[in-house]
Amino acid sequence: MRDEPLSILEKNFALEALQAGIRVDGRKVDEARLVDFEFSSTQHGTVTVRLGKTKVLSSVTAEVVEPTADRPAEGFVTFSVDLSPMASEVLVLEYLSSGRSSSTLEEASEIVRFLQQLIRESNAIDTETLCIVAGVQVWAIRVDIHVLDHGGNVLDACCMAALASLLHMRRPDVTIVGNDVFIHSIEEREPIALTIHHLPISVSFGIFSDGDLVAVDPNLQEESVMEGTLSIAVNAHKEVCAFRKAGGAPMETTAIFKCASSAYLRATEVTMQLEKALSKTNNIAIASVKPLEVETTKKSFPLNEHIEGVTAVWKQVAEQQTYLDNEKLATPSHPGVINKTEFENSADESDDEAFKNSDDLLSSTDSDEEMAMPVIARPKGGKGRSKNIK
Amino acid sequence: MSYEHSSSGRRDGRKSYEIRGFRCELGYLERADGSCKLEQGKTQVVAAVYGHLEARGRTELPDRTFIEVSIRPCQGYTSDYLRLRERELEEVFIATVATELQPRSCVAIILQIVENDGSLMSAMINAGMLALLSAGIPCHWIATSCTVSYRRTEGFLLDPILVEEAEGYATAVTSYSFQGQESDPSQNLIGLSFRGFVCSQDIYFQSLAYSREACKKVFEFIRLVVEKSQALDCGYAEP
Repeated sequence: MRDEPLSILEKNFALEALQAGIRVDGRKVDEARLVDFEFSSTQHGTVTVRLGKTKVLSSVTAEVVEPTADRPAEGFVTFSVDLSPMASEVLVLEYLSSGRSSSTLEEASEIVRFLQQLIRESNAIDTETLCIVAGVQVWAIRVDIHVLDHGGNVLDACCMAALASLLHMRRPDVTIVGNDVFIHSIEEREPIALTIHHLPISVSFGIFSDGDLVAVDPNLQEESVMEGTLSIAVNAHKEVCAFRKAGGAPMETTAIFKCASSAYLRATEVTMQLEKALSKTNNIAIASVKPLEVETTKKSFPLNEHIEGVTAVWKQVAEQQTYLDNEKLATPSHPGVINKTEFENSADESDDEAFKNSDDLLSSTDSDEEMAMPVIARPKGGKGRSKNIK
Repeated sequence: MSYEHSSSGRRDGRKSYEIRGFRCELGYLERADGSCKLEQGKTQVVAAVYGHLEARGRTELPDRTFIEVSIRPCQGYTSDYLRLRERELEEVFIATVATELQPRSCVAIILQIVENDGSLMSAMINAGMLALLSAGIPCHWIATSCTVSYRRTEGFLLDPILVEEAEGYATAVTSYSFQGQESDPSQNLIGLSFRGFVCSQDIYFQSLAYSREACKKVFEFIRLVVEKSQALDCGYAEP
């Protein structure tokens, strides 16, 4: 990737501060930024992760496909990382001039490779449970990650986002009756979660001063002066799941062991945050399941051609789950946010020609009225912007 | 000339001429010059604008600014269908942005679809407009948009959700321009994109009138958002 547009002064300052044992954003050398998980209230498997100023959106979808011949009883998990042009000016300029430069694609594919090691090869997600009928049908899980805002350490943010969205994801329930496979829609049966065995959290370190200095979770300014990077993925059971030190300045082995311990501490911290954020979403039903009587299920895949006209009669009364409104969900806990507004716009039908509706708008901004909630409007990023993570 | 949809109400209880509520966050991203996260019901779009960048090669036009629109879907890559939508959005934004003011420069508008629950094109136009305002790009007017879904015999619905769009026979994305405090010009249609066909001429013209009123609501919302954000800016003490 092209050089970030930072001045030489800024870069030198970041390096000198590190050498003095402090960081430009006030953190200690072994202190990582706060991470925030924002799960979608309307769609399973969509999450926006904020790691300091870095923002990453991750979305998971599931599809039924045929398995490969050599692994007939396993499903697939594929990752796709999009370094969106909205993430930085450098990316936009590259997008405009040449479509997509090779270095951007390289960086994206490096993140994908690390994600594969982290989640697939460490068996965090059980691909055998994704099997529906061996040799015929399996689930293909696709994780799409979009980097919205590049504020340094995109790799860690992508990994956290991928994991969080996999945990949040719910796939349709499947029933096998004899030789027929019935895939229930989310209205019929509550969708079920994926089987995740452990939570590997990636922690990245920046290497400075020819291997002498190591700082965890480098931000943008620090990334511009770092000479190498080390990423260690640890889970809460103190197991190293993935390790990446690709070139860059050499490090002493003792420093690496120290980083591994530091990574474990960070991983436990992030795991707690993630579980806390997830437990908040579990109290809210996303798809409401109503009591129903089903004559036949929505989809059926007859495997045996001779079986015809099978109708499964399900009589089930599912629990009625309440639907929490979006308003109640998103309580603003961020300082600097004044208020939220949601408008219910409607045209008055009584006047045929003059649609005098501006009165409705004005009345709805009264603070007395329950429905009125003010707009979240933040000043343009940068100066004067209060931190929205406590 | 009152209008009433068929007796069956909409799933969320709205009338046929009612649009969903909005929720917007200006300045959502740090690095982009202007950005906004807009929610229209469940449809969510994040828009980022990089404004007045250096133009090189194909983006350098001698008499005006080059506008580039990029739509990133939630899953997968930008399909051909979305590339066509990008061209449509470019038309709206090229008309909206005051391109004659800064030739040989480039403005990039990037739209990320977070969730699609109907009226996606309209949400993208509205979000793009808010992001342009957040970036401070000079524009001729405020562009607003509303989607109309036509039924075969029962008329039309404004701001359809995804299932309503699928049930409809035709969908029109109408965009209107507004400017100034007391704006009520008779002709301010700046964008019209159609899919399908509409049987009745009466219903078609009626729907245009109704969607214009809906867009007026959007305009008022946008104005409120900008006013609030300006108030925030003034209130901060410079470090």
